[in-house]
Amino acid sequence: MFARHSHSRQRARAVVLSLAALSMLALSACRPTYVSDAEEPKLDTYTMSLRFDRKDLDRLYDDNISKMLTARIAKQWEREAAQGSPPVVAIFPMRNETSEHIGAQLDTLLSKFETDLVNQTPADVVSHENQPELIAEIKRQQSSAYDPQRLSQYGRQLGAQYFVTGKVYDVSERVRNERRVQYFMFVQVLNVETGKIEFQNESSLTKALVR
Amino acid sequence: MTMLRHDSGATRRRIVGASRFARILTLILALLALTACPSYTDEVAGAHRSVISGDADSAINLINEQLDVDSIQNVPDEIEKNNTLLLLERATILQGQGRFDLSARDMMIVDQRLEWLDIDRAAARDVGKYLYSDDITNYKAPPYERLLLNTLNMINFLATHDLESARVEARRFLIMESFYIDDGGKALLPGLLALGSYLAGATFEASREYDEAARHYSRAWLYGIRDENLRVRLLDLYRISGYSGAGVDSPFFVRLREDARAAGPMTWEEYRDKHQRGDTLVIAQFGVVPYKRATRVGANQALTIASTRSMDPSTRAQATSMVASGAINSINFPELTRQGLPLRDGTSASVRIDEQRIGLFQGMDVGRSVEIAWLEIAGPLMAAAITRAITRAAIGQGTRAAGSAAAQSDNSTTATLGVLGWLVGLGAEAAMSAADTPDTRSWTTLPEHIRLSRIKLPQGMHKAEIRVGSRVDRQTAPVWEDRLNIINFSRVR
Repeated sequence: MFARHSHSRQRARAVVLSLAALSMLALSACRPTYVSDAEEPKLDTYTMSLRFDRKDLDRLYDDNISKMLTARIAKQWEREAAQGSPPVVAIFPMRNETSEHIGAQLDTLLSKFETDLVNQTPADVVSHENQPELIAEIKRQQSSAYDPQRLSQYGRQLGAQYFVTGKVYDVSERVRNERRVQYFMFVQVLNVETGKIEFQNESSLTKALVR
Repeated sequence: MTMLRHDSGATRRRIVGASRFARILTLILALLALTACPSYTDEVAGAHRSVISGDADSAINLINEQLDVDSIQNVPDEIEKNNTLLLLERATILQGQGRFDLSARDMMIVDQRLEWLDIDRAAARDVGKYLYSDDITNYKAPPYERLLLNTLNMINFLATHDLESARVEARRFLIMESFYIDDGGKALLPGLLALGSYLAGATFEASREYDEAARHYSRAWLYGIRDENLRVRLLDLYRISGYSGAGVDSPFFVRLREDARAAGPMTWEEYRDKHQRGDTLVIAQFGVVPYKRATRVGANQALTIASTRSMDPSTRAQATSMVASGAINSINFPELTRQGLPLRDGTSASVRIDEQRIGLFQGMDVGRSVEIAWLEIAGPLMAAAITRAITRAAIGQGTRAAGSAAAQSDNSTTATLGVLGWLVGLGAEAAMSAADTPDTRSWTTLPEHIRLSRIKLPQGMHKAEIRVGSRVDRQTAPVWEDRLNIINFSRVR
């Protein structure tokens, strides 16, 4: 009988200890922690939203920049540079015509293009970040900012002959257990004077939230 | 004798052990009852009162405390539990203060989170509401809240002249609207769709995307905004855009197309001169929507509220039997109430710009949408509450029955344990009942009415004033000639 008592007491103590340990574990698991990709190499591999992450931007960048740098227009720029008059190219904001707030990510993508234009082409590149008023004006004017007349006006203001720009559209759907966004990106090189599209490439990417 | 002494010692130890066990159990149950969270309405009661009295700063401070953040610049580390709704409440108040960028930030966070929660709704979590409490589940926003989120965020972006982001919100509104309509659209009132469509029309018009503007304005008219200014805009949009009102076959649109043809084409410049020079949209948001409050509903009334559709026959039969036997007397339930809210109708607000009174037209009766949404969910909510009451009563009954049987035993130890068991059963039922917090979560700081006015003003600063009942709010509003200008009033309710 005493043995049974002591046995049940031990069992009760074990239960209490286990509960306490579980509580501690639960409490410690609840706290968020800052980590970097150096500590957690898989950090960049998770998809965390329907917007663009670094992996998406790298993919879109790779798909577009190689085609742009081997396109006819890039060869033309090389010829113009060889003749002593390198073209002036400016980055023009990309239009976000999607259902996701991806404006900041599109600016990042354009900055990546800018880097390659500077390092890998003979073009003189005008930094769009040095023109905040113009950029604000373009963003405010929106659709009409992209009409040839205005493009030409902005080009003159920047002293640019070409704009590297683009637009992103989406087909976005929601059903009971899924939300899917199919992105279509068009990267363009526009002739400022004529409004002619000198280069265009289409990339697509799909993101979804599924159960 | 030795044997007898040994027996009585063992009995004493058993009784002492049982008493200790009962004390620990009672303590656990008491803790359970104490840790039962206050309802959402209790949590935000102070901020709610501050919004009603027009003290936005206090309301923000109280919500920041709940969110465990120091200032409006911060967002909580985790958007879990009630933080989603609290951020939404803060965003609404920030909009009233004219802090549109911060309001937009909060609303975007909430929008993304609600989308995730909508699709997440794992079955395991839903089981919880049948055992424990409705508010243990993650918050699922009703359609009117999801659509108003994008609608109010459109206002934020329009007010900051960020047309690209306003268009994103307009598209998000359209996606959710299509989803709810495809899903049956029972709780969608035309006024809700009309307001969102009108603001989407204004967004695309300001972006000079006239086909899209015509499309959204047509829907706004179709859903019930009957304003002469809108009719003339639509007529002129039909004249300049390629939009033909496809799919809109009401006599009004047929006539509008004929009038547009008869009036002849219009250039974009003519349209801008006529409609977009000094274009100003005044938005008056006033009153406060009905909110949910925890209450106890009589068992018979509860069975009436839980519609037959929401409860399976066996549960209903079990509930009816338990009500008849007195095992269930009342049910914890969230009721929709207007207690403490200012009495407002659509005509309670008047707006003056530069001392001139301007006419307001109906944007949306938000309060009505809240009531309709409530009617939709009241039955299933009550069914879940009754199921929980049955579970509690069954546990309490079982423990008490075992206790009663033991209490009648000839053996004094067993009888003592029986009485304790009976008491523990009673305590368990009471503690579980206390822990069953009715789910009072909803977007409580929404205005009850949203009314609009569309005017043209010369470029410059203008004095704007809203009078709601006896309260007045004034602001000096900048107006640009070539932009869509927004004057939003939502601080004074």
